[in-house]
Amino acid sequence: MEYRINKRIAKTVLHALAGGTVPDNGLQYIAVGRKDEVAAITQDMTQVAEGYSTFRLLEGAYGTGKSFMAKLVKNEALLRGFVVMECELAPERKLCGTRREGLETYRCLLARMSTRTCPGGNALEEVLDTWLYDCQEHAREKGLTDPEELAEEVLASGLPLKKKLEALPHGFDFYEVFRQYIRSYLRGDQGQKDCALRWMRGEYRNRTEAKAALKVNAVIGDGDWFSYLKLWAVLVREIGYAGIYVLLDELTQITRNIVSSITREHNFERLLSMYNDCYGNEARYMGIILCGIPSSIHDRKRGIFSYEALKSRLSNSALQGDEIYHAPIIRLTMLTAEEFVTLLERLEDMHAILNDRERYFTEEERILFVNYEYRRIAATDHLTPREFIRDFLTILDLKSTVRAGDGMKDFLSGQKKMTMTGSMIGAQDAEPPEISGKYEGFTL
Amino acid sequence: MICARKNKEEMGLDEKALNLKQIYKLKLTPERKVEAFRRFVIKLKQQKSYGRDLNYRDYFQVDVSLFREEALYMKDLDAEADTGIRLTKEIRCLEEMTDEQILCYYTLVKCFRNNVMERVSMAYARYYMLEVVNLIYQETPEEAYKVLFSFWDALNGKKKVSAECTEYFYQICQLFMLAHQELMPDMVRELEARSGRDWTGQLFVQVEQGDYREAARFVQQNARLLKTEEIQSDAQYVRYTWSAMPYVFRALEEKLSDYGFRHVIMNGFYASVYIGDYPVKNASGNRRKQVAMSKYLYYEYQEYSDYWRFWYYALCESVQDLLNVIRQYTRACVRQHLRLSGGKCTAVRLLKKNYMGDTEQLQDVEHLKEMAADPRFEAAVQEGVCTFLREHEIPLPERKRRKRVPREPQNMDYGETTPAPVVDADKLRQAREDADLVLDMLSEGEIGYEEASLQEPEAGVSGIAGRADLPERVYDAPGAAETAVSSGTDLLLTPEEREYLRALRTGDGKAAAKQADTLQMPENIMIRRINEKALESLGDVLLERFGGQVCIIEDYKEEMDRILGERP
Repeated sequence: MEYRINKRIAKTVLHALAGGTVPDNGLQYIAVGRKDEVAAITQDMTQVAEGYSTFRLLEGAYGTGKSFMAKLVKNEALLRGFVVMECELAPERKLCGTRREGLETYRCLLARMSTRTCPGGNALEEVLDTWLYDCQEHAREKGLTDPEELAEEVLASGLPLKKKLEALPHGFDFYEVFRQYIRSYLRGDQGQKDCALRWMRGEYRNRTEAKAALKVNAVIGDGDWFSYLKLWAVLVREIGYAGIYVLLDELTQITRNIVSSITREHNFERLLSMYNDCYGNEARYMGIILCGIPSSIHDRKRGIFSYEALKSRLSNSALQGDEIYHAPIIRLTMLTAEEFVTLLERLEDMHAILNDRERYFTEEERILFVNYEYRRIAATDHLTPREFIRDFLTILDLKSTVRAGDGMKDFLSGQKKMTMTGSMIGAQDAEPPEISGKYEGFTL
Repeated sequence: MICARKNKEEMGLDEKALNLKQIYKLKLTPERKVEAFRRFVIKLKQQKSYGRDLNYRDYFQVDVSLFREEALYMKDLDAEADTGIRLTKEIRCLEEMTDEQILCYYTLVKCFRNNVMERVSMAYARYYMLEVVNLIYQETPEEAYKVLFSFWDALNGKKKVSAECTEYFYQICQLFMLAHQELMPDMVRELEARSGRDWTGQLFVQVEQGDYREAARFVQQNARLLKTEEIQSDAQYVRYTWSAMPYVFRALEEKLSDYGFRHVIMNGFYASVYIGDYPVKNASGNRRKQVAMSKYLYYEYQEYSDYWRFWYYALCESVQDLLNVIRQYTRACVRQHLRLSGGKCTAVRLLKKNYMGDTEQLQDVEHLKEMAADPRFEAAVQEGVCTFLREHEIPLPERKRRKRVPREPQNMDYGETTPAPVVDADKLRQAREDADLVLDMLSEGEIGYEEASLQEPEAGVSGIAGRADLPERVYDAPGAAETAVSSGTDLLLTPEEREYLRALRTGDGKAAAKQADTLQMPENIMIRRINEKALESLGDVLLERFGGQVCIIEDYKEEMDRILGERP
């Protein structure tokens, strides 16, 4: 199969991988050995877009690619028109706690809300403003110009949305603030708009402040933030998105890292209620994905499975076997040698496209490299795709610059022929070899 | 008041200790006298450590006598009271009783003093025993001791006394013996007759005489009594451990004769019989803790158990640590032989484990290190345990010699053990196909590469919220995208958007913002629209915000020039 890849994306991918991090885009080109996982996730997305909610745990040992998978899910969700909220749990961000840790998580989720056109986060205002602008345009087409009239028109058109929001817990307060946001936007009242935004992001500390600013006698708190997420899911769906995807990483922060068993149990209870809401259809248009290491789930003392109610829900069926489509827990396993070889092929292709040349190495040479990596000391426990990729990219860079004449064996044996074909920078300017036509960059 | 004074005289209270003399010297009215008593008791109670600094015997005397006196004065106690009123908990002083309970108590006391147990209530009986040992009703300890045992016998004759109450009685006796040591031999004899426990060290005598079987019987007896249901699961092993102890000591005696060890061990052993793992209640409630024999632990747990208080002084401090090690090591050996635990335990490790505390250094037991490290010591304990098991014909399960396979420590948070790869051609082909399939699946929402995908997206407003429809998902079969990706007009920019981009291209952000402003369009919306179009056709955004400024992504600048017609 042949794909062309945008040069800039190739550059981004290689740059990030060389630095040992997961790139922001172009992940689909290097997603190797994750067929079942991706199928399960995409199936979930289809379900969420149809109005259901899903809850999945991504379980993987260190270095198996949880963060990669999470980012892959994010990108795919963005492409499918979802609003994505992501947050890494931390000591100050849990599902609930005595110091408003749950609310901190909510704030973080809202701050890192992203959309397709605003993938870097902080998309809340953009999401609302874009929709309001469209509404405004629509109203203007009807000949309305006065802000008040415009506001009335927009609010009238949003009547079904109001009904849907008010049907949910805290819906009346939420819609009231949303209504104030609409009015302040159409009037151009930036101060009031900021107040409404602040409320929606859970930044008001108490009801007195909220009442003074917005005349709403409620604030988003540690105990009810998930109810507001459910409201957000309905809201974004109604204003044109497919739904919400919530990604929570570092599950271990609410399991093993909490010493107090009471706090831990409260977090598990919250997790349980989230799970129940998702599958009990309390929450709609919402996909939740949590990432964690195996011990954060299976640890009998502090893991999620120490809480019997969650264990019985999340345990995979004994009859299920390797099938993960319906399993609440998706286990990410380490890539096999064959998958590593495939990954190297993909990387080399990207590198070739970026430098307008053909592949350097043959399949045998790539296998040789994989064998070499596996023979390293402590490879059995500590070899991760990160180190694998970095080594390979280093070889590619060397090959394309100062060691053009060396073969894979030379690189692996540490022998240098040092046949300089150009400087590190000048090598880019050298005349590119003839393109095979298999991989091409695009031109505008 | 007359009645009260009479009672006081009957009781023979230690006035000096109670400081009552001064109060009685004052010619106060009865009311003021009672008030003075009250103040005195309150003052006593305010001393937080009354149980330790004060003689608690005094405390009980003060409490009981004062409040009793007050009760006698204030209430008409000659009348018979209802004896059906229950005491719901262990009452330490009359102050904690209600008026009705006080009346009930004194009515019952009349019966108790005559050993009439018709209407006995165990809670009240306990309180009565406490009063007896505090010499409330008797002049001398001898009298009190006789009354106490006669009362106990009468109580046992009348009804079945619970184990808890029995234990309480023993504790009372121990406290009493502590206070009046001259009575100890008699009391111990009485207690042995009633309890069946070895209170006098018969065991020690038997060991001295070399009758280990008899000694073991005593040990078992004590172990059974001391170790209650808390260690049900280990009952057998406990029995074996305690039974094995005499054999261990004999072996130690033989092996370690150089140390002059015998006397020390025998004394220690005598003590260890009484202070093994003794289950005690903790302060919070019913949960029980095991108290191991150690002087350090003694301090830690002393508040939980008065039992310790009595026996601690009988122990020789220097023997404690050694005994602890011997006992634990014996226990470990028995466990090991009975296959109750795996691994190997050494005396040195036990020593470290128990005496390291929070520091890296052994605390106060350096002198034991040498002995514990002596191979003869371990050999002696092993031998003692083995002899015991052999003599009692306890079969040892045969050791299965299994080939030891070195295993890596398993950590579930790291990846599974990766075998050395043998790249299989079929699997490699499968991996490639799977990767392509993933790309297909993920590209479903991705932009297409065909010109068909570059159509102007519908700008219509739909739905209640006037939303633009979701971006159309164009899925292009891989390999079909050989056409040119885009050209200058592919973005289908509106003239306004072109103007905006042109202003941006010249590097004039303000002009660009102004351009958006003239269109009454927020700059955010403008950026989003352009980016949406770029995403549709290029698969990437064109504009991004950097430090509050909007700019065109560097890689696309040249192409942008061509789009805008600046360059051919």
